[in-house]
Amino acid sequence: MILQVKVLSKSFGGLRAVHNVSLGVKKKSIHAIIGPNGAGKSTFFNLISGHLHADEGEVIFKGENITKMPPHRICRKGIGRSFQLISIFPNLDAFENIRVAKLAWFRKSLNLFSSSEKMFRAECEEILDMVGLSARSADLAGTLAYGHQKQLELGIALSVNPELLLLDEPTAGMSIAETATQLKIIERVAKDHGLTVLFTEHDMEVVFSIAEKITVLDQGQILAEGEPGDIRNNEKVKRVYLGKRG
Amino acid sequence: MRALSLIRQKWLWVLIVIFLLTVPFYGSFYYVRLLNEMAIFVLFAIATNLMLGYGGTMPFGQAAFFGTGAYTCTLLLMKAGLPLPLALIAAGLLPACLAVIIGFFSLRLTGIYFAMITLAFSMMIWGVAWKWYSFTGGDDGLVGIPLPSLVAPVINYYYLCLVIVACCLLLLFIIVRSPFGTILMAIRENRVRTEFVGINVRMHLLIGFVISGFFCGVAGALFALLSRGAFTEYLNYTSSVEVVLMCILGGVFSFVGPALGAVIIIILESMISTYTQYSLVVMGVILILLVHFLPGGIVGLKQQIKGS
Repeated sequence: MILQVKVLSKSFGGLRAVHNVSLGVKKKSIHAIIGPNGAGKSTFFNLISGHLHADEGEVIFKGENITKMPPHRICRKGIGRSFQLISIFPNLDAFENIRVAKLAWFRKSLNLFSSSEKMFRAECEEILDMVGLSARSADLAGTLAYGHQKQLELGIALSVNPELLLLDEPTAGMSIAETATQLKIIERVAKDHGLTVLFTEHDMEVVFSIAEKITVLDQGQILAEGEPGDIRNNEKVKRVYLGKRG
Repeated sequence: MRALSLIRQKWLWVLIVIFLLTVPFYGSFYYVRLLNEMAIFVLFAIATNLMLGYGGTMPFGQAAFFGTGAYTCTLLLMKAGLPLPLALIAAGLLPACLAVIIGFFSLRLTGIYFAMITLAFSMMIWGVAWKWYSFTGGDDGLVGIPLPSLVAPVINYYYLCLVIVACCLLLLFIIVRSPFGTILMAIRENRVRTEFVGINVRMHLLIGFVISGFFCGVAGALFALLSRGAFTEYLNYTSSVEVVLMCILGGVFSFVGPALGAVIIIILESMISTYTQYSLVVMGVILILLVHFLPGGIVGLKQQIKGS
């Protein structure tokens, strides 16, 4: 197991957003977390990545307790993430967006006296190529089309050489064609670089097409866990989530 | 086209340098002093913009560093009899240390809260200088800095000032183009995202704040030497507001923008003060108009025109 979450809980006032959630993520697997709106998926992600701190429980990454660590330290341990609402550097061009992450990863951020202009060109181009944005390299990130911004965010997350990639709704708001492209990129990158991917998603087609294991959250708790086939046939899941769709 | 514009730009800079170096030969003392003041405020504005335009914070207490630099230099020359170069270095280092303390507490906060806490700190320092008569001279200030005879004449001091300001600006230019400068811009653009690529945002902002404090301190010291004294108004919030106004007027998203703002405001102030004593009212009106019609400052307007 690359990631182990032990009885994790988080409340906001009286609302129990995540309650006694435990799960393990196998190395080099693609693991999905699904659940209806307000199930606690994003909160759960924020607890793992250090954006929020848990009230109780532990997050163990590669055998190390990262529960109370700040986000920048968790990132350096090998966890990259994307956000549900696009989170990029809008007034920097696509290339610089990636370069920021590379400068951080190669610990150059405290270098005050060399020009950053020529740094990590090849590495940045490689990432842009990987996410299919080579042609958009000089465009301001904020002016890119929505789908491209999502791809850029994936590129930023990949630039920090993660072992575990946390993707919060990586295809939300994308067209069918964009979704297909994004999924292909995620699958290919995960395979080529031996990454573990943990992602949340609304779209069931997306989940069943790439996830090897699925955890279903409902009202902050685990409702079911298993392989896609098991989840598809699980009565409880059908009732609280899948059934509602149709 | 780009090469042509670069050549044009290069020639513009050459002309500016020639102008600055030759003014004492044909200009009156009044103009030499005015240019001297401009050079100092250009440094003050660009140093402030490291946090404002690059770091994306709202530093409203930069007068604390400018004023502390002025008092440090003045006190070291007048009371400790230190040589000028050492006094100037100390005038950068003490505000930098002060920035560590102010930054440690204020950089936990963002936006308007950061602005308010930096303003509060600077007003505390102003209060100390105002009341501590025996040390700072209180509202009389400290007058009569003994300058070495080599730099005492107005023109000699002008050249010394140009060299120091040029060196400081070169250092700041190198810093904003460095990886650190890129990270500062990333923090401005998206603090959370920067944290999630593995950057300790608060530490980087603190370092930026200390660098900014250092150069604001040097600017304050140079201004004290120009005025031959240190006064509490250097520490007052009006200085903080004025320097932010310079940055916004010129444009915070470029290196030279604040310099342009500083030059324009110094010229305006010298013109307005010959007609009225309410120069701050005029400055206020300028700020209101700017925020409404030129949010990107003069440099922003230039880019807009180019773009369209």
